[in-house]
Amino acid sequence: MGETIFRGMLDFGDAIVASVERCPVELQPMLYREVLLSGGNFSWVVPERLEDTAVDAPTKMKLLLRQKGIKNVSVKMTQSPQFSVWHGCIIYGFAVPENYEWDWQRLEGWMKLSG
Amino acid sequence: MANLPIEDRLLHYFLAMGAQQTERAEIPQNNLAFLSGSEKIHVVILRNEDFIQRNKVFETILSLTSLRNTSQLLYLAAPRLLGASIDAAIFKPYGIGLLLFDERRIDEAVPPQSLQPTQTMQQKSPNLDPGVLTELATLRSMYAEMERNMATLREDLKTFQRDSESRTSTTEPTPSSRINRPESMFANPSFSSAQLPSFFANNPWLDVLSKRGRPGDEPIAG
Repeated sequence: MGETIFRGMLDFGDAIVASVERCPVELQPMLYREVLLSGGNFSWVVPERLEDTAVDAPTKMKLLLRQKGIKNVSVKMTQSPQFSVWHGCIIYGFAVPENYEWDWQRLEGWMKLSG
Repeated sequence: MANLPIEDRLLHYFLAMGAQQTERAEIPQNNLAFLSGSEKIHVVILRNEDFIQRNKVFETILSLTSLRNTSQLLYLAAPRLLGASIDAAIFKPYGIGLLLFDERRIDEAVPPQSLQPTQTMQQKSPNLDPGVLTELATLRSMYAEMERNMATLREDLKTFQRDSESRTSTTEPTPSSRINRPESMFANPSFSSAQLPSFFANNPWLDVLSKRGRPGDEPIAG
């Protein structure tokens, strides 16, 4: 995230906290209430007969954040975890005007490398 | 031009000189016959592969002499190497014209002498240098070949355009269409949502992102 390299041993709770703490303090409570999980691995479901042992990804996130003292949390899964990032890319590429050039402050826009 | 068989190149050469080809079925292989006015022109071709056989060279030259009674102008068309190995002037006393060819051009090294001297092709334009006439004939034949190539290229271009149009209509939208989509989508109410994936439907980010870079589009935080 940014210039920070997350090592493999960092759990998702720490990753979420590190990400949120990069944002303005006023926004942090709202961000914890809008944690949205995306990615195929999050769509893992609890196998039969392991319901008393394992939990799904949103529940796991809530537990991890609770261990760090963050309680007012809402974690949801996107409707299609495998493809939602791709959907976002497509929506972004479709909607953002072609003449919207890259902005280093906002860290978005079209970066034209040639011509 | 150089890729054409020597028969076709000679055909172009004589057609460019104003001659007309006679029925090809009437003449033996490696021979060409033309009519120029009332004169009959006969060309015997000595091919590159025949040139290395001495007997074939003699046979070709002798076959020319046997045509004296039927044609007014006789030509031997031979590889340019022949001009280097023998003195081309030896053909002159016998009235046999010599055409030397290579991969690029055909030159009249020795003009033929007509049995009816008043009607030779050279005498039709006595003021012109024979070298210029030869060059002109070569240029004319090259021009004719260029026109044929142009016609072929035009056909190829038409075919290519048809293929590319049909391919464009069946493939995904081009980048240029992508550039206009945000504006056209919101400006044109007839833009069919059926053309877009389901996740476009009622997606609020389309409206937000389409305002990027416009006045009033300020960052939420930063």
